[in-house]
Amino acid sequence: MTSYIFRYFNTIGYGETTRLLLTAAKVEWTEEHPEWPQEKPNQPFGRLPVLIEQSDDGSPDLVLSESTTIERYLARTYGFLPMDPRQAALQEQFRDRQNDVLLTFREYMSVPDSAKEGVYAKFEDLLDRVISAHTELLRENGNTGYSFGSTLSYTDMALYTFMKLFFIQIVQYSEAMPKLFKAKLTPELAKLATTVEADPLLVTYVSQKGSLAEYVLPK
Amino acid sequence: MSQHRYVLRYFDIQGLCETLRLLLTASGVDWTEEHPEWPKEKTNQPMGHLPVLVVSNTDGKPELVLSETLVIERYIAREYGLLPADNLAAARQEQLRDQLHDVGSTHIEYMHSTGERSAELVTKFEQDATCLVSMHVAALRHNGNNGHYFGDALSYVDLAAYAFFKFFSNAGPRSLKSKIGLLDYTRIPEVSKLMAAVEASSLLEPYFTAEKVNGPRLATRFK
Repeated sequence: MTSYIFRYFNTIGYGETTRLLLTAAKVEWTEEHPEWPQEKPNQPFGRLPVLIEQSDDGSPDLVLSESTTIERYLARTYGFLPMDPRQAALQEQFRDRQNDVLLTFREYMSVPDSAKEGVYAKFEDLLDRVISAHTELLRENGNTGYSFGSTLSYTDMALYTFMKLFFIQIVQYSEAMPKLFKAKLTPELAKLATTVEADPLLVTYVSQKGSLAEYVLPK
Repeated sequence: MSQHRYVLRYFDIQGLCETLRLLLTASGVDWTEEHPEWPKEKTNQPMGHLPVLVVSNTDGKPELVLSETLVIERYIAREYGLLPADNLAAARQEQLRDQLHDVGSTHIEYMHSTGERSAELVTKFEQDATCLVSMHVAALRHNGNNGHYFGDALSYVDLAAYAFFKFFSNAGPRSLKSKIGLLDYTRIPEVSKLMAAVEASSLLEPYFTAEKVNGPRLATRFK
């Protein structure tokens, strides 16, 4: 039997999509929150997250680093990313684009006030494109609340995490960004959030972690 | 022989695309490069940025348009056997490639940063670059120090590492001069061996012998 240890910080960050994948895969998994930065030298790449896959057949542990590599490995292994290279590439694009948005947010937070306006404009443009691309995808799929077919996929989980990041985590650093996101939120994205939360594979996890309903549903 | 044609849309610079240019060359496919007028052509790209890869059939009809550098890289690498089909074997390569990309991104961020953020990034770069070298040397040694990361043939991470170390061997005026030495491959025997193996690969002959093909690439710029 295979089991996993997920090492990360106790935060949404770059870890939540992996938590969703592990949960949806219905594998046995636990989480470790290493003391930081003390444990930095003990990680293969000096960073978190780290995923450890263990088998009870005596074979050595697999240790993986790099958040999106971990995600893709789990998604492929447990059927949340298609085998077809083109279909997989289309899903992976969505995930990588989200990183662009987050990097731009980080840039916004770190540049001097005089430069913030320019970065904000760049951020808004990227966010518009990401929301529009996801909305189109959801519409093309019949607005079922899933991005592809009628089951949970990597793209669904990554998009859900992306929304969660804005409403739960980024809001602690900037009120402007989540407000902007909320204003641009389309009904299709709101439906995805509630659909992901209601999916049998994730419903228990969500009930423990909290719902995004209050953030995405119209008041 | 592939039935597809590929067009890489990017700027006429190394930038983010050298690994991809090496991949397209090594795969042996029919490919060309376009340098769209910028920012005029921004709105014509799926996500408003470059690179973009357009995959067409032999009639020239586009079948697939991809953006996001690493997604494009992995797509080509998997299609043409430079990244294994086996999930685990691929993950081992991808994590090494992702790490190269991370350190490269930190450096780009540094070049655009000021003040306190710059100082933070210097520390981050130093830590991550040191760890990177240690991980990559270990991987090359684990594979028998034969100039390849996996097996005895050219693969995705070989090409990504080549582009990465070449970039830092000649990084421009805004680069982090004080720390670039950490990535000096002439002082890292295992990586030097890798660089030589890539340069000697028959699959890359078109890349290394071109006078000026589709832009001033590493090979032509730093010969």
